[in-house]
Amino acid sequence: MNPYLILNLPPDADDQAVRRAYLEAIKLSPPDHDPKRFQAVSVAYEKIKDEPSRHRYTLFDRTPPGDSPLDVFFQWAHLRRQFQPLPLEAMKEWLRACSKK
Amino acid sequence: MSNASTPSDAAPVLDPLEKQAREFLAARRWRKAREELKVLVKKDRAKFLPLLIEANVGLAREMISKGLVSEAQQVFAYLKTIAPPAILKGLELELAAKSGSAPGLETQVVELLAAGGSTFTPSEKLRWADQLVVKFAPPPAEASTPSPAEARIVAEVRAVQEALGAISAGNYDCALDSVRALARDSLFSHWRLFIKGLAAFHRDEADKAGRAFAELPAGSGPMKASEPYRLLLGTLPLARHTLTEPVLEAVARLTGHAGWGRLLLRTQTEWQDQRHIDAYKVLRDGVRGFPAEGLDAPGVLSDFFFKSIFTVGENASYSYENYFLSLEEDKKAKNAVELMLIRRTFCQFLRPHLSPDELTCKWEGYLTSLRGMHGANARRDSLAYGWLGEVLGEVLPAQPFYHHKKPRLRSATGAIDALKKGIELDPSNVSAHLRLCAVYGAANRQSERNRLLDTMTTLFPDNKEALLIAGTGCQERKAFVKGLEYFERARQLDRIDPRIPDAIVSCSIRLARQHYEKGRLEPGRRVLARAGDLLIEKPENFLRNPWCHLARRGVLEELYGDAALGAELLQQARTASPFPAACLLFACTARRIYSEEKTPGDLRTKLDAAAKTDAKPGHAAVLARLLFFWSGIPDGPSLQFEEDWLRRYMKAAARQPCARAEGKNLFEVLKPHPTFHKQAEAFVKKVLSQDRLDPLFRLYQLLLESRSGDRFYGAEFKFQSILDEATRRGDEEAAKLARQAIEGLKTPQPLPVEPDWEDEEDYDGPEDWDEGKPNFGAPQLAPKEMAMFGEVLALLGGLNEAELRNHRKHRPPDMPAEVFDMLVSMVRGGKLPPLPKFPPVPKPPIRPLPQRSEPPRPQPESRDPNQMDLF
Repeated sequence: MNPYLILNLPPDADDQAVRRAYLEAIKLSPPDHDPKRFQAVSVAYEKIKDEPSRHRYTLFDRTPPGDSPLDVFFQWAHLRRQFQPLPLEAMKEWLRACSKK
Repeated sequence: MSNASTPSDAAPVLDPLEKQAREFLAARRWRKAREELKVLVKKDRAKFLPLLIEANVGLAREMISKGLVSEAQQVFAYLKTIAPPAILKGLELELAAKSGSAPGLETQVVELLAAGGSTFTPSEKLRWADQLVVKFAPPPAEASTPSPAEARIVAEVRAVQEALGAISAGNYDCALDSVRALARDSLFSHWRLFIKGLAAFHRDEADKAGRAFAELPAGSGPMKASEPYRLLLGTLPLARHTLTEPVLEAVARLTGHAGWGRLLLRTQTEWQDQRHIDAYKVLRDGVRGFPAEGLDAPGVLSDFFFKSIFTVGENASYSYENYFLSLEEDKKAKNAVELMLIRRTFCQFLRPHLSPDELTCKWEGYLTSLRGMHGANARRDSLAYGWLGEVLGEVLPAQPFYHHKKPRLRSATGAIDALKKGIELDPSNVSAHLRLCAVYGAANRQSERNRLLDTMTTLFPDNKEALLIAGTGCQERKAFVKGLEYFERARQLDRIDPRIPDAIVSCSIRLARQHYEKGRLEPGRRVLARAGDLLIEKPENFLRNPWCHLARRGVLEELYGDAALGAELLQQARTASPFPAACLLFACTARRIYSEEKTPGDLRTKLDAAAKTDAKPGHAAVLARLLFFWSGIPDGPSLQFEEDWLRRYMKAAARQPCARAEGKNLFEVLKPHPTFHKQAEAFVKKVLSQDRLDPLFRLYQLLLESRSGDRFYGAEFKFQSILDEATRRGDEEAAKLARQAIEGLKTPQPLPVEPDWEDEEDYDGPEDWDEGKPNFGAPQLAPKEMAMFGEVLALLGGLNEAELRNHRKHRPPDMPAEVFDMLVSMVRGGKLPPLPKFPPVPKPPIRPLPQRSEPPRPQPESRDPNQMDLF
């Protein structure tokens, strides 16, 4: 997945911001508690830790952010974590659809 | 009435009709069950009537769920004649709800739920409770809810509905307050859990939300409604069965992409069915801002589609290639981002197949787009040109078609231009400097390389790689003192890298030899003594091995200094060496090289004696390594005598028993040296004589027989048979090699893309170019072949750009890219590349010449210290 999303950074983040975000992220996901997330954070940090790395990521990175479009979409949503509540009418419609069967 | 048909006293063998009826019931085949049971009821009403009612109720429910309301009403009418009203109440309500013909339905449901009893099963209660909530009807009037139980139900429904409204409005505290009063035993307690889950979800309390949703009763409305939330939390696996459009639409709405549900489902389905381009088109056509850059959903999905080409299979990538490149060629890119991503992706993906000009043009086009979108950035552009230079500076394999034995660069001129531009844009780009240095070296432009090395040591005084390359350059220019200085500085920067002490010892030996030759014995001894600090006990490192160092010192002393000391040192070396012949060969070769003698003198007798009496396969491998170590020296004398001696030694050794490990070792040592393939074959056969099916050695034999890796008749079948045998024996190594060999047969050889004759135009430095001119040694075509040639031309004439590209990529392995390009130019009637003259076929050299130039891409981990430039 996009390293900026993993570290919750804007695309124009500088070295300091990247470092800060990395430290915060590993504090939240230490390797013994969440090794998978820790690994993802470390890989993301390596990709954008300094200016040359960020340029290299922009120019040459070839790692797809997921296995399928939906996998990418859910990973993106999971990382972004900005969800809007369903409007009441949409909620009613959804609940009725779920209670039909 | 007789109730004799209870299970306990039922006959052990059921009536076939009854058995059939029960099977239909179990399979929920209501209609069939009903038909059977109607007959059975006539036989035993008491026993089969409940089953008949069950079948009819099931049938009616099925009809209701399918929307067949009038049919369900007919069944219900029949049920009324056979079943008590209490049983039918739930069904009646369901039917009324479905047909919309029940004024006051909610009131009736509330009454029945409040009454409790056996009117509803627990799951029916849950379903009716859900129906009350999702109806979102105005609450029943005060008068219609006389009993406290009914009033409580109405209040709870209202609370849940208010909470849902509050969630939609983002008032999560208010929502929780609304359902706080719901008791655990309430009919709506699962709605309270759902509301809690929703509030936690929107407050980013993932664990809490996950726990709340996990507790929801299976099959309830809220459980189903929680699916999109659980998918987004990652607590529900992303399985195909959950991917319904409404669920995805809910997910899309939650993420702020209303209307994406259908698109997501379609793109996913197309992707899973391997129709990757169709998957892309779904989003391209359906989403206005796609493809895009950035961290939003269109951005990451664009990223996914353009990077997936590197991971999908060959066929898929081919269709990718065709689609996107035709978009670019036809100028049909949807937006600037799409054009930029196409260029970026396909420059990288097609880099082995694009000509240098095409690659440069496309890559610069990508950089222009990038600058247009993100502004100019010299450092980024410098890296980009560095990459282009690296690609154009790739070393191509030798081309038998042209009798080219030397490696060639893909486009030396293009690489140099790109790297110079990269350096110009960012003078601090070390890798561009290093790469340019390597390209100069590979193109044999030594004077420019030396100038660049001087610049690099000034610009990057603390860069290990730059210092190492500069030191090597000094060594080549025989500026050993300066070279040692650079190596020492590099060692101060990195004390672990084994290349540095190797380089120091190599340079020290050359400096010491220079001192000895000029009669400066003490400085020479001091230099060797300093090098002695870096010796290591590694038998195969003939540069830094203590016994080799002793022998080298002994030879130098014997030749130029104290002969007695030399003899003593040689004796010490002989004692420390693994076996006498090794020390003998080392000393003999060193002596010949240092003294530039044509013959080995009196050592010849000793060597011949060793070959006759002491030949062993295990020793042969060490001696071969030793000889190859010395023969790698540039400008060294011909080692024909030593080579001939080694062949005699190996011939004698091949008569001795040869263990499998020894044979393997010998093969690995001799494989890169075609002049010793015959000897390698002898040892391989020796091992095969002990086990003729040994897969590894059969593979070795095939590889040796095919000589330079050319394909041979039945190769795939033979490799497959070896693979089968290796798999049967569990020989992982042989299996891996066989797989690689099979894979190698399928993969076309890497293709050169720039004809050599272009170099002639760019050539401006007479002293630096060493690349030979194109050397066509191909025979004249026969008339039949000429006819075929004509057919090929006609075929090429009918191809479009994408097809041509594909044909170029998959052309016959023995057809060089230059020839293909010429054919295409002929067909198109455009300008032909200048046709080179056909010089005579050169005679093969007597023995392979030592490699003179630095490899353009040093790989520290695989470097053999014995291949270091010693002199």
